[in-house]
Amino acid sequence: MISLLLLMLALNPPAADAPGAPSQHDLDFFEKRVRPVLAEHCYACHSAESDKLKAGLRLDSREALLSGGDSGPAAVPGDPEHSLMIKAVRHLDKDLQMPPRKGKLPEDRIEDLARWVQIGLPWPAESQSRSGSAKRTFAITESDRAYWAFQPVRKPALPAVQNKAWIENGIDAFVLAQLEAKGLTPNPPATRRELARRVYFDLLGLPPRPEELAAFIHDPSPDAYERLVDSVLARPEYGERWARHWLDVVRYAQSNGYERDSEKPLAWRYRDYVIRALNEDKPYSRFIQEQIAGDELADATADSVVATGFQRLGVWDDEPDDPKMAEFDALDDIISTTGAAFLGLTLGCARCHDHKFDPISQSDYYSFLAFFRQVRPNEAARFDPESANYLPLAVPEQARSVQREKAFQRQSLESRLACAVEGSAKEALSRALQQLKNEPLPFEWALGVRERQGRPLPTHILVRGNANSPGAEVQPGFLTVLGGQKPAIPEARLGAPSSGRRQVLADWIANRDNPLTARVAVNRMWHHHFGQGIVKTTADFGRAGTAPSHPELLDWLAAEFMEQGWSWKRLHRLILLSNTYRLSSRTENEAARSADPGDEWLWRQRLRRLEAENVWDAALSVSGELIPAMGGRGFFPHLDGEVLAGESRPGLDWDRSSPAEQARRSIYIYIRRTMLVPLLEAFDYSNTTSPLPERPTTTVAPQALMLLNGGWAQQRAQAFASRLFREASTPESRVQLAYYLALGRSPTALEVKRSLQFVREQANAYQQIATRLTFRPDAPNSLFGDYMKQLRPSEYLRGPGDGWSYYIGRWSSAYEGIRTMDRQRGPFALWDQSRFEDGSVGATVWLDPALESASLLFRSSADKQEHRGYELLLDPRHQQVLLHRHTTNITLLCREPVKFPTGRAFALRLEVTGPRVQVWIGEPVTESAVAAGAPRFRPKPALDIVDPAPVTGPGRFGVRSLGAALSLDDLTITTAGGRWAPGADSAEAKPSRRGCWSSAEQQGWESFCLLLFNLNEFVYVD
Amino acid sequence: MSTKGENAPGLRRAGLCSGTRREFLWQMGAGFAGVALTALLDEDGFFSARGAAPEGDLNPLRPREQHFRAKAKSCIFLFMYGGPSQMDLFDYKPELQRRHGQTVDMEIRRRDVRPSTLLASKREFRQCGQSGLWCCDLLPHLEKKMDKLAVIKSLYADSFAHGSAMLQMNSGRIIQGYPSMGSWLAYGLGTVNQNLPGYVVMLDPRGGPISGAANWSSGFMPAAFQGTVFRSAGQPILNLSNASGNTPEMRRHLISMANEFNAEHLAARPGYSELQARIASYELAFQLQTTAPEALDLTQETEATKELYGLNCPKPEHHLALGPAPFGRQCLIARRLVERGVRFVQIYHGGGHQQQNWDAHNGVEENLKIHCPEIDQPIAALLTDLEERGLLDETLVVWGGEFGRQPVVQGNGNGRDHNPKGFTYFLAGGGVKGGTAYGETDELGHEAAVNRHHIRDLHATVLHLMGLDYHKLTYFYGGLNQKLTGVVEPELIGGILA
Repeated sequence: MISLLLLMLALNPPAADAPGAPSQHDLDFFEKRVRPVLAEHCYACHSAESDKLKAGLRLDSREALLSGGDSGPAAVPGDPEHSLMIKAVRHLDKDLQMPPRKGKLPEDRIEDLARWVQIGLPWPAESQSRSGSAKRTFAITESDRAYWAFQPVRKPALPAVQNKAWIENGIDAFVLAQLEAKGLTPNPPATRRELARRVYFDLLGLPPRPEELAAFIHDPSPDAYERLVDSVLARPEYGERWARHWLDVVRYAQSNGYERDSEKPLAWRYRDYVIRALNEDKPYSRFIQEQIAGDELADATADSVVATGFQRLGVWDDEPDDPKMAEFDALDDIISTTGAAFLGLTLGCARCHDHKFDPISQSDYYSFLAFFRQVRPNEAARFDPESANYLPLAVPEQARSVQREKAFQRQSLESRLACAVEGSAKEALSRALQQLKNEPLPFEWALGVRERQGRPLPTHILVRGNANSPGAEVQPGFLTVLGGQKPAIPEARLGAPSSGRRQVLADWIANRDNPLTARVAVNRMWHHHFGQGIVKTTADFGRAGTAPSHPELLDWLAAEFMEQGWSWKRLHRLILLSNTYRLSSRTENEAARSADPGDEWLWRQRLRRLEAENVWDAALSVSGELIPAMGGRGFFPHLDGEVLAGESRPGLDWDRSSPAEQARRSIYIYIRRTMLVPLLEAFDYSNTTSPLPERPTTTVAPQALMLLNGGWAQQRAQAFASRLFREASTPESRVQLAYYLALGRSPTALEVKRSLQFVREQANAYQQIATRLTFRPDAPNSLFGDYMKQLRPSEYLRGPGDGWSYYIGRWSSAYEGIRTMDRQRGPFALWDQSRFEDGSVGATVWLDPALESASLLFRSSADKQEHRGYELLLDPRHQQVLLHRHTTNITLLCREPVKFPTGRAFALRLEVTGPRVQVWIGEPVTESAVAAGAPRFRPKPALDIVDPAPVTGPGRFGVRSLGAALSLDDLTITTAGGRWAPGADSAEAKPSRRGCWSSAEQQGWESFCLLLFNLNEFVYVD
Repeated sequence: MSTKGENAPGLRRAGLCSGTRREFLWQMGAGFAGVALTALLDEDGFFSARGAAPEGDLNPLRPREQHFRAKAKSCIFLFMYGGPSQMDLFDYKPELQRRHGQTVDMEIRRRDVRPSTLLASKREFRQCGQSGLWCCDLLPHLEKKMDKLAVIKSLYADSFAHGSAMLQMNSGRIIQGYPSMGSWLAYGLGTVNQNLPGYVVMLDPRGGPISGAANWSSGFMPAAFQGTVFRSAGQPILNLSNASGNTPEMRRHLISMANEFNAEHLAARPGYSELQARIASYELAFQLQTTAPEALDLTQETEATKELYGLNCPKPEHHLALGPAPFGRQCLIARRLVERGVRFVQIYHGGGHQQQNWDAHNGVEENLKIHCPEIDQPIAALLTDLEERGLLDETLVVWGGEFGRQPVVQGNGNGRDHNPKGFTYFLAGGGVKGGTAYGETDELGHEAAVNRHHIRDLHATVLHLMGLDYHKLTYFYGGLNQKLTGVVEPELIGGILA
């Protein structure tokens, strides 16, 4: 540091007197008492020589010090109390303590600095000349203005091509010109089968129905494809598919996130609005205007008010650490989303400093923010005309008068009630009051925005984005680099419901002169039809994004789009009817494949994986379960207990929906930010918290686990198999139908043969375990009390239905609403058909390797939800069996070490005679042992005990398992009264339930259906 | 799409049904978190990666080089959900003891200063080991390990509320939607064992933490990097076993059939390596049914080890208390997971609400008596066990919650409220200087005063100890090279580095 100081002194010429120059005495004070302190303690971070300048602040000249850094001037001459650097060295603010880490300077040094500020910061004149302000200056250069995305959209002429016959429309001309220039030829067109599947999934997110597919394939007319596209575009499922793309970009969800993650009531109206807008082919320009300023439009409608929900979809912390920061976080969420969705700009990057890549200054950011400044901050939901974010879908006067009338009625009832004497009159009054309270207001509500009344709040640039450090004031303004014309802001009118500012912004965005809006829109559609945009970074058209692969095509499409009235459907039609879209995705085109493996030049279509929602919807469609009901709050898919276990109040705010509700399309799944459906998440679902312009496509093992083992996939496979039996009579025709439904094609003869063989082999395997009874626990340790009330006991422990009764066991009373399972008294099932006191039970037992414990219950009676009687508990972890007697207490009667396996079957026999209980555990069952006629059991019982205080009287047989599944094969119960085989009973019961085929055969077909869901051919579209 | 498919071993050559399946999987680069066909995975920054075909980069969790040599290869984060009380555990404050009952002005929520009554700790403190670090009397096992710990008493964070504080401790931001630290580590280092998740989360039996899955979210990164909830009992991974009770042989049969059909589908589509990758993911899914439960199989451990971790301790009388067994089991499983190459294991101690976790609004003494015995023996055992196996050097152990607590009374007269302004963490293991007391709060224990560190500094330090440069570990999203530590320059907590 000394050498640096010497160097600086050496470089500085001698002081020159100047008007108002400090006295030599003061300068001496600076040189002796101040400069060494600055040099030693500050210059490492705050000088021209700093390796990394901190906080944009330099302290190596008086000018730099006064000009300051990110937090403003470092000192106010003559006023040490208000000088940041003095506050910092005095450690008055815990978050601004200098020097950092090394502890406070000695007091006398601090006083020297304060005195130096007091006497006006004397500094030799010469030192100032060599150091300018440390502040970066923002300037828009010529090259910024010349950047491609900021140029006006001009419709280019179609390029000339050699192979004119290939051109179906303008798109093909641009694509082919590029290919020809590279010496490449495009692929042949896809087959009709491939094309139909591609169009259906692209536009509807669903596979074509067999009859639709057949009709198209066999349609001889030349315009068959065109009519297919038109008919598909006219279907309501189109809006459901494409709304989901939009919802990704606008971070749509139905809850607020954070600790409580409470619902945003009626957020779903926004989702339904988007679906409707797409199906009606609402012009995109209008779509933009409605979302930004739907409440301000002269021709506002209920729909346009709902559209402003766009600004309320973000996460919202109802318990913010700093409400002021939270207000600006919410505004930033709106601005970033607006930038990503409509402009393809990362505006949020300019919140704290000028944009690092693009010519967007921090001032631009806050000028943009000023359009939204009047929007009232989000607040808890209330359906009240004064709410900030809930608007009546009725004229305001009507809303207010209804509200007034209701308040008046309520007051009058309440005062009458207060005076009323006990009796029927009072009861009637209180009923009337209750009815009034419950009566809904006679209009609907929507999530949307309401502005502050009165003069617009000023908008300041926030230093480093800190809401508590306002800088210069800015006015609403458009981005400087896009011309920077002054917006015509309407005069603030007293009593007006809104400032009209957002409408000005909406008009600027939804404008043919805006170079970004249409380009971003058509590119996003291109991305969804080709798996990759012309600009790959669909929400970043700035320098950090990628350049367009076909810039002229992009402009041509943008111009067409605007000429065609910003019509989405016409744009779809244009793209889908091009030969480029219709190309095969195969890769036999050797030359193109080696020259352009990434398909930059579009010599082929891209093979694409279904998105999460399409996997979901396609399975429901193929299984024949899909219910096409549209709109509303949405439904709650069943979640496994282990998924709920991740919540602090497991099950809170997760409702139960009927099977019919759950058979609706996935876009209607209720989206709770902290509880996303695992199957969708595994297939790269939307992140729901910030704009997601392009979904990644990952291939992960959990996807396979969910489609193979998950209950949801198995239910779809069951329904699919049932459908095959309903709709096809022979095994061959079932395979035919299954292929047509799931894969959109006929199977080859060999495939039919192998499929039938697979069904047979699986059916045979199922036959081997036809009497198997499997019990699988599906409840977490803790559950939210209200959720428990919705669960049936058979959902805590899942097992066979007929003949079995289920009980939830003992759970603690609620603590903070949460109830906890008593793991010694967990959920269990009892067999209803017989009661016995003495008898024997035999079974072949199979324990899942992950099982914690499995229990056989006998002489059992259910005391409300708890077991009373005996419990033989198998503990595989400790290789022991325990016998418990359950009365009001649990008494351990016996604990014996016994070897028994998991993951392999073994025989078990239990005998109970009066007070005596005996248990035999057999060797693991192997086929060779059975063939050799080996005895099933060791002669000596594993457990043999006489209970001194036995439970007497007849009781039922039952099962309990913890952690994982327990299966029982060939369960037989023998008593003086007879012999029962509960597993065989339920195996026999199945045909009567399911139809006329055997259970094992049905299960074989279910396996086949599950297999189809797991094929690459099912989840990829050519 | 990659062109590698043509050169990669074709299905027939590698022979899915032959003994070279493992080799095939390795060459496909598949893993638990599998194969991400995203171009956003280049550690050298986005410019080189954007738009480039992700050749040879199909597996986001393939093991990656550290940025520089560091000892720690794995991290076990013991998350004390609810916010443990620093002045009752490690941050001994004699002045607070002396001034018990006095009224002071205290910031209870942001800029909400209220006259409050000081509450002394009822714990006894003593200095332990050679280092003389302070420890309270409710941690009799852990106090013997103080020479292994670096105790940081001067951390501060940005939120007084659980929801946002939890998010910040995990992701660096008080705003929802950013990747958690485990996701950053999985992204930066991959995982050594492709048959297990790279980032494992274990939850308290009493329930998950506030905000649930948002705490182990991968935010704007692909879901392949998010934490996988691993149950310490029962089925470890969601849908790992078959819900319908059929046999493994039947499942194997189904997968083999799918492989055959998929191989034919692929043969007509050469060059689409994602199709091969998806075939590989089914093989892995099948293998996981064995490998994942094996990691939980504590029958492979000796009785002495189980005893060490407190696995045989009974549940105490108190209706909310669990005793050391459940957390001990999780700590032991954590050791088994890091032995098997899992990169980041986070165990939430405490679940649900209030006294079910460290959130001691309603009685700090009751709270400590529930929770201290639950963690004391297991953590001491984990340190001992790791050391005896030579793993402590390459495992970083991190202990702490989302914030600390106030030195003043709340509620019924013996609770403490949230306090993000000063709280304690401890680190141990690879690269950490044991027996270090670092930083101080003020004399009452309210606010970090000496060697103050924001938690971004803790995050930077954890990355550093894992061999990652917090400047270089970036992910491009929303127009920005995003970092765990955010835009404010962090400072390494150098005083605790060995």
